[in-house]
Amino acid sequence: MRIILIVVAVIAAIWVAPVLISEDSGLKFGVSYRVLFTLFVLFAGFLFYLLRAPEWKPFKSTPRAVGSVGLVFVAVIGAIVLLANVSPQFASEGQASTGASSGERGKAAFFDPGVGCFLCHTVATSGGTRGPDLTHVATVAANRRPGLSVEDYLKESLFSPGAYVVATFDNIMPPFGDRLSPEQLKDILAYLMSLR
Amino acid sequence: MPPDVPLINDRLVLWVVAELHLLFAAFVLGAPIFIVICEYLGLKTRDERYERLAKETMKIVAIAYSLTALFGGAMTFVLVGKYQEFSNFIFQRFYPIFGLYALLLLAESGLMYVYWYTWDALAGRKRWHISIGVLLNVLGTLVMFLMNGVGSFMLTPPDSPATATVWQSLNNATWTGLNLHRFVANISFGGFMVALFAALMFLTSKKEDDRAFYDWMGYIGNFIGVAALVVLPVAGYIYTKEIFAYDATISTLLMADKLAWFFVMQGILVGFLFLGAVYYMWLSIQRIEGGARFRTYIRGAIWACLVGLAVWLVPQSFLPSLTAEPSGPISEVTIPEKTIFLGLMPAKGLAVSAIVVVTAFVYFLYRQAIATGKMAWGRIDVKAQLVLTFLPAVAVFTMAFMGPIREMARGQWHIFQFMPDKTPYSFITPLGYTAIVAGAITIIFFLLMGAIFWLGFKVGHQKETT
Repeated sequence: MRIILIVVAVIAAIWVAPVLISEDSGLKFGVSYRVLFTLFVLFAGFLFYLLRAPEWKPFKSTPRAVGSVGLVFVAVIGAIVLLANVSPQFASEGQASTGASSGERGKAAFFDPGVGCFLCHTVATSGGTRGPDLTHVATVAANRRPGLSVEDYLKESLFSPGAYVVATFDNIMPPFGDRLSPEQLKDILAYLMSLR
Repeated sequence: MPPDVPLINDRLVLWVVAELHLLFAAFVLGAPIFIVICEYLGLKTRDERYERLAKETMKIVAIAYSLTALFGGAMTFVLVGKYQEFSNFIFQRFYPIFGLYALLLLAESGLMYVYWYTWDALAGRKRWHISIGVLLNVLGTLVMFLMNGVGSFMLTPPDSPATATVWQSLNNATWTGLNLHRFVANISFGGFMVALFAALMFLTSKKEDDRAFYDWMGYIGNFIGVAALVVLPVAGYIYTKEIFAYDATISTLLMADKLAWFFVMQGILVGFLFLGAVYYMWLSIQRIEGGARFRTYIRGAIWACLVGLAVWLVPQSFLPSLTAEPSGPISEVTIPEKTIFLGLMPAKGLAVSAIVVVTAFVYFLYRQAIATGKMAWGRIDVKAQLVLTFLPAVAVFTMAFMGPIREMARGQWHIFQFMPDKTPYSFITPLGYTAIVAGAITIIFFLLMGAIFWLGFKVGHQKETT
């Protein structure tokens, strides 16, 4: 009973406290976190219940003993699989690849560590700062090199990054033309041209 | 290229077969280390239980060996049939290594049978028999090291993989880390599996003497399993650090992108293992005279483990990948500003260290209890035996779950940044799907182990008693 009361009190605190805390405090956890903390408290409560549970005597029959072991396996594996399935999921690329547009595939490639664009460039709030911010690259590229279209300028930046280096940045980008497949190149260009 | 496997697909077939091969291989590599240690302790302490434990476990290993070979063959068959370009390259690149592997495997198999069939014949020359066991383990470990070289080459190949020497290819950036991690993990796994057999035998035994022996056997198996488990996070850290040093993009994928939530799950699983081990000690210390006085400290240790686990589990965000966009306000799914430190590696490292130190402390207390009080073997809460079945279930699931993480860390490459995976399956599977496959593999593995157990322990026992 004491354990149940403690668990209920802690869970109540998890859900009530954020109502009392202001947004600016920098301490307010979102709903997803509160759900995670609640599950954790329930688990801890169950563990402390087990610490107090009365002793179990040996099973009288073999089928019951084997059944108990089977039950432990099914419960443990089932609980873990369930937990994994309610955790954040990304869409399976295997299903999405057929329907995704070139720009969407380009975005995925841009943020794919195997390609690595985002390690040096930021789009919106994600990415590195060793290279220029590309959040509005399509707008910026329109006036960067007189005579070059947005697409040609971006192609030049991918094939010969040293041809134009933005002031305050070093000429450190390797040519990406040979590193990417023609499809990836086309998709990344489509994505960059959508960043207006 | 032959057509895709109907109903399921090529990758899933390879995934299941390879994982089952690895699980059985881990058992037949880990258990003999455990067996030789027990045989040596039997000789040293003159305690006959160690000898019985070693021999009964070896019976299981001998049968499991055949299944390891069977799944290894099936894996090669699928690789050659379905991934021809890759398997052609890898077999040519490591041709001398595969030759050496075949020779060592042959020698290891022969030695395994010699070790098993000379058990009674060399009863009077125990040191000879133990020496054969040690040699068997040395060969087994070498075999594992060779294949680790091929596996780690796929993730961290040397510069110019096509022209690098065989030694450069084998001794790649993560070979040492993977060797260390698997070696320690196999010992832990072997210990937990032995504890599982002991628990099953305890639960189905009717005689007090048998229960006393299997209670003791479970204790020893769990002791070795947890002793190795305590070291495992260090080995894992070294391995991960090697990966990070090789290419930071892999580390981003693992810790901040699509695989980040896989590591949250891994934290839960490893936390379960440590908490299960401490709970077993909580239950089993009762059967030691005067052991109950240590329970206050163990309760404190459980509190400490829970706090550590809570810190370990706090994620940076609830977004499944770097590119994912939240459906609501970003503040709802990301960690609050003033608690960001909880989501960073120093806090996680500290939390894991605390869990490890606390578990080791509880073991120290347990040893203290044994040293000062009489142990009543067999008079243990049945829940403790169920914990001994819980631990291997979590351990095997963790292995089946971590395997694909290591493979998917390569992204769309068969060999990282050298040979692209051009199949339709060169993508990272979502967390939920990966867990379902890992769960299915775990169940298949235990069903097969159950059959082996029945053959080795139950049928063997009936034969001995009739």
